[in-house]
Order: sequence, then structure tokens, then C-alpha cells
Amino acid sequence: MPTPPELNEEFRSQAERTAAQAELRRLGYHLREVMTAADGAGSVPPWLTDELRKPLRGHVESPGERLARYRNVFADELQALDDALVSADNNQLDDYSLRAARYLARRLLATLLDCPSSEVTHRLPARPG
Amino acid sequence: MTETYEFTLLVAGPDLQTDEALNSLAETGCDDATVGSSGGVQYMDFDREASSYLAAVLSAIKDVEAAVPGARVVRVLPDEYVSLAEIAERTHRTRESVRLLSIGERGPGRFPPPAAREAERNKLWRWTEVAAWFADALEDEVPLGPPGHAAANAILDLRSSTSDLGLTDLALVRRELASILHRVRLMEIASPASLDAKDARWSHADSA
Repeated sequence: MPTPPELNEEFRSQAERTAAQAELRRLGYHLREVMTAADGAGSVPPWLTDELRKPLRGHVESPGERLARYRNVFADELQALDDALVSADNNQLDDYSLRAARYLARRLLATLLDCPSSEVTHRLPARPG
Repeated sequence: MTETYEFTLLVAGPDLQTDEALNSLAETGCDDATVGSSGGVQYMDFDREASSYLAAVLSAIKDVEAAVPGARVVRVLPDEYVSLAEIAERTHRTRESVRLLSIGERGPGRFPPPAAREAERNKLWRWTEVAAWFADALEDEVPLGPPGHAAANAILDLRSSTSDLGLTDLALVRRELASILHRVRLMEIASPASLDAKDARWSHADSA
């Protein structure tokens, strides 16, 4: 699979960068909800409960088992994203890192929701607050 | 999948052309290189097979320095720093044409600033920046150099430039390196190839 060209480009304007930061924050918020639930530190968010009950490529597993397996398989990726979100909060991500973090967040959620990356945004609830 | 990469290493330290050094180089895997010297500078021309240019260069550096005690690779050629004359040669333009482009009297402007000897007549530019400008601003097809070339020289520069730093500066370098490492790790983890491999693992139920 070729590298998406968007990963190797600087943002063309401040507005484009601001939009990317907002999207990363939104995706990151939901991924942190997933991590908290998988770690047993919080309940499974309602938007995820239904998703976890859907069959996934023939796997027979409970929602809790699927969440635990996801946390295990993508432990490095989730940690990297969490680190990137901290950097983003401190405005320390350059354009390439911001693009990479957003791409990573989209892919992680697409895998969990079993949908194309382009549909992730539409499958998530609006971020509260 | 591997390819053969051509590059030259400049090597400081002991004479590499003694029988003992040549034998040792061959034994450590450098039988894909020829050794020479010019104007007191020792060099090794490599044709090395590897998975990438950077992998080829880094393995060659490791092999040379392991083979000959005291040998130290200082540069990978072609050099990242280029003069106006070298830019003209690589872009197939006249020197005057490049000079005018560099000072904004021809072309769209915003030519990259010199990277060294800014105040002197014989200024130097970073080739990767200049080549990118020619590609973007003029849509010229110029050789960018293999991916990893600038990184290889940056690694060599960094390891030679920290030996005379004081404690405070070493701490600053360490902090900057940690930041770079953090960024590199993110790029590595977020690469499509890496995520595709993880997705394949996710698709197998016994992956927990």
C-alpha cells in the first residue's frame, strides 16, 4: 500500500492546520474513552457498546473480550497516539507529526469500528463539551 | 527485497590500504568496496546490497569501523552541502543562471537560504532543500538523492560534534534527540505498512 501523499506534506494554510488539530482532538477524545474502558478505569461509552456487539469477520467474542484484544494488539499504537495528543495539547506537533497522528487515530478507530477510515468521523458521536 | 546501492565513505584514521587493513575489511564484509585515497583523504567506494539506501550506508559504516581499529567514517558522498557551481552542474544550468535564481533576480523567488558560509563568496546550500525548491518552484526534475542520504550524514555529524560539549549543552542535545526520537517513533508506528501488519494480526482471533 503506498504512503498516502497527505502524510508527506506541510499544511497549505493555518486554517487547514487548525482543522487537523480539531479533528485529532476529537478522534483522540474517543480513543481515550476506548483506552479507559479497556483498562477497566471507566465504563464502555454508549457509542461503542453497540459497535462491539456486531460480529467481526466471524470472530466469536464478547464485547469485553474484543476490547481487551484490541487494547493488547494495538498497545504500542495507542501509547504513541496518547503521547502525540499530549504534544498536540502543548502545540508541539509539527505538520508531519500532526498528519501522522491524525492518520493513526483514524486508522485505529476504523479498525475498531470495522469501517473505512473515511467513514470514521460519521460513525462517532459529537464530542461533548 | 534488496537492491544494490552505490555510495562513497570518507574515512579518517589509520591507513586502510595496508595488507592487514584490507584483509580485515574483506573479512568483515567490505569485499563490496574498493579503497583509495586522494589528496590525503581516504575513501571507500561501495556497491552494497541492502533493503534501503540508509541500511546499506549504516551497515557499511559499522563494518569499516569494526574492521580497522581507530577508523572513523566522517562523511557519505555525494555531499549534502553544495556550492553554486555544484548546483549548476546537478541542475544542468549555467552558474550565472543559478546565481540569479539564488538571489531572486530570476524565477519565483524564495530560494533556500545558504546553510554554511553565509557571509562569504563561496556559500554552501543543502542539496535536499535546493533540489526540493527546483522541483516545487520550477517543476524541474532534479535528482533529490536517495532517501536517507541526508539522515546518514546528519548522524555522522551529530556523533562527531558532541565530544567537545559541556554538560549543559549535552543535556540540551539529549532533549532535542528525545524529541526527534519521539517524532520518528510516531512516523514509524503511523506508517501504512506498519498499520496494515497490525490489522492483519487483529483479523486473527488468536492474536490476544
